[in-house]
Amino acid sequence: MAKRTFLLVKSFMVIAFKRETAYRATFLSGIIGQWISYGATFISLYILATNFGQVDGWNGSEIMVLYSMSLLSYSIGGIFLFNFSTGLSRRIRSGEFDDSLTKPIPPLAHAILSSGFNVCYISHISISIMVFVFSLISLNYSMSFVNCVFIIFAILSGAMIQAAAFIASSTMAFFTVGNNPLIDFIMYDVKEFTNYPLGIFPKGIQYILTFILPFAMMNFYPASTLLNKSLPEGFPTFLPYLSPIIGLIALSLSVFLWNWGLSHYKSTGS
Amino acid sequence: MSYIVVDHLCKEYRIAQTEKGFSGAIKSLFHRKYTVKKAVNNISFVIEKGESVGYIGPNGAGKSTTIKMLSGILIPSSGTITVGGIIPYNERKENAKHIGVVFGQRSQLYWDLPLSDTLDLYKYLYPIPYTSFKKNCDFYIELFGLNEFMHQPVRQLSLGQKMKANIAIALLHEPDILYLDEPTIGLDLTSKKIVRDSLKTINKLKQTTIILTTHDMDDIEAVCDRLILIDQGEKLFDGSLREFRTKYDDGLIFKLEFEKGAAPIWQNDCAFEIIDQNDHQWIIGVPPTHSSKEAMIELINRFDPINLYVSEKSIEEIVRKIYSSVHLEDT
Repeated sequence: MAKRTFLLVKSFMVIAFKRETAYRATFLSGIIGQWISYGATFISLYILATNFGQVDGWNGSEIMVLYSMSLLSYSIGGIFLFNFSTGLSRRIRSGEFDDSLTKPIPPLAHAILSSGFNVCYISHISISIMVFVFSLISLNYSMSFVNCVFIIFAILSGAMIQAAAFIASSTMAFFTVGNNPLIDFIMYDVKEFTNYPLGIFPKGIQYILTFILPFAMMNFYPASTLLNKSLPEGFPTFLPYLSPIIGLIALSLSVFLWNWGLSHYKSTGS
Repeated sequence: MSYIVVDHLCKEYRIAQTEKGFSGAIKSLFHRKYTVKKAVNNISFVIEKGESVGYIGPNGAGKSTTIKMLSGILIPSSGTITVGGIIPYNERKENAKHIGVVFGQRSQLYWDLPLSDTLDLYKYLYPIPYTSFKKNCDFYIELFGLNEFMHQPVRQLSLGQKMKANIAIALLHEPDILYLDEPTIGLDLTSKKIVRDSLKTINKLKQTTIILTTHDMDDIEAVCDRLILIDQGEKLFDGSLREFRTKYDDGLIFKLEFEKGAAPIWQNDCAFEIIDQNDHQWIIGVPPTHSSKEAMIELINRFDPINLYVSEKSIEEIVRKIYSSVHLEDT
């Protein structure tokens, strides 16, 4: 059974990769385009941070660590879920989504796997790993085995939180037609906050980003621990170690929410 | 207990009503009136294993909605469905193992990739032994002649080729039931024939229960033993094609040909009805009270045509007549 599941996921991935690369020029220009776009964001953020000297006690390279961790988690989630999340509304309208309900695997699993993977995120992943490594080097960071494990856990937890955001936001497709600005705000604008140390924001926003939309769990808390930064006042020091649990909780809640949305699903007329 | 049991099935859609004009649009933002549309209204039937049933009706009759409820996609507003002892929309995963679904309007194939890639995927999607899967693959590749276009990207295939491929992949896991929603829509005559013949073969050879929706009577004639006619969500007829013909038999159609411009004058004392005429051709309806022999003799004796053709009334005309008679009763 486990073997069959593995083979099924593998063949879905092979298909997704073949589809993405079927049009070589589109594929390559997509990757290069993302490189340029995110490269520019990194550079502007770096210039900003170094000109200000320090932002809440974080210097330019440290802010780069912060941002690259956020981007890396986002891209790992996005590779698997971006097409699914943004395409669900269209698939519901075209009736394609009905196929996911007539397959012997859970509808969410089928909807995700059959939406294909966004291979363009390879560019986000490569650029964020590069920036992450170079920033740590420029900080003369001494890497230990424990730190490595911590980083891997932090990134995976962040990816789970992102995945939860992708799944939860797609649930709207069961109720409304087309893009919802509120969802865009939560998915993209709120996340912008996490490019900066949490300490610069008012307390209310700090709480929201920690407990309600736990995007700070993806990068700020793990990076604080990694770089020996103090947390904003009133937040316990064990918070960074909670990210895997928060990730799992967020992901489970989003799956639950999605299935609840599905129970309200009305197929198209024809 | 029958294999598929549908009991007092209803599906209602709530449709938001927008009043006319700008003020109406504003008003509907705050207070919305809904009308309830009954897509399927109190339909009951049973289907046994191995039957092939045609579900026929005009556009918007509720055919697709019924198929979607049977296959577990939609949840009924009221009434019950059991398929092989389970309730499809409650146990979608279990139900999916036993059914194949083909929507004529939509393809299950990956547009950019050849068919062979989609086949690989289905190998792992359903819990059947790989050897049986391989055997089924070979069987359907042969039956539908899929080999000629197995390795071309699907976007280059014709509509007929895509339909054949879609039906084939819906059957690879040996489903007990095959649901087809408008399987011949938009196909040319040759492709229609291949699709119909193959469905018939599958039904006979594999004992697969087939339920198809269509508005083409020829599909039903070629594939189905039984037909269920619905319109506006209600069942109008349920029985064999023969019963349908007997019950709604409306006689025969005669076509008489004359020299161009030399058609005689129609005489109203004739027992037949003239449906259409021009200067060299008559279309005449002969009621079931007359045998074709009597009618032929009389028509030849009285009007002396050059040629005389006999055909059955097209079943579409019969369907149209039932629709209008049922709706006349309503009003």
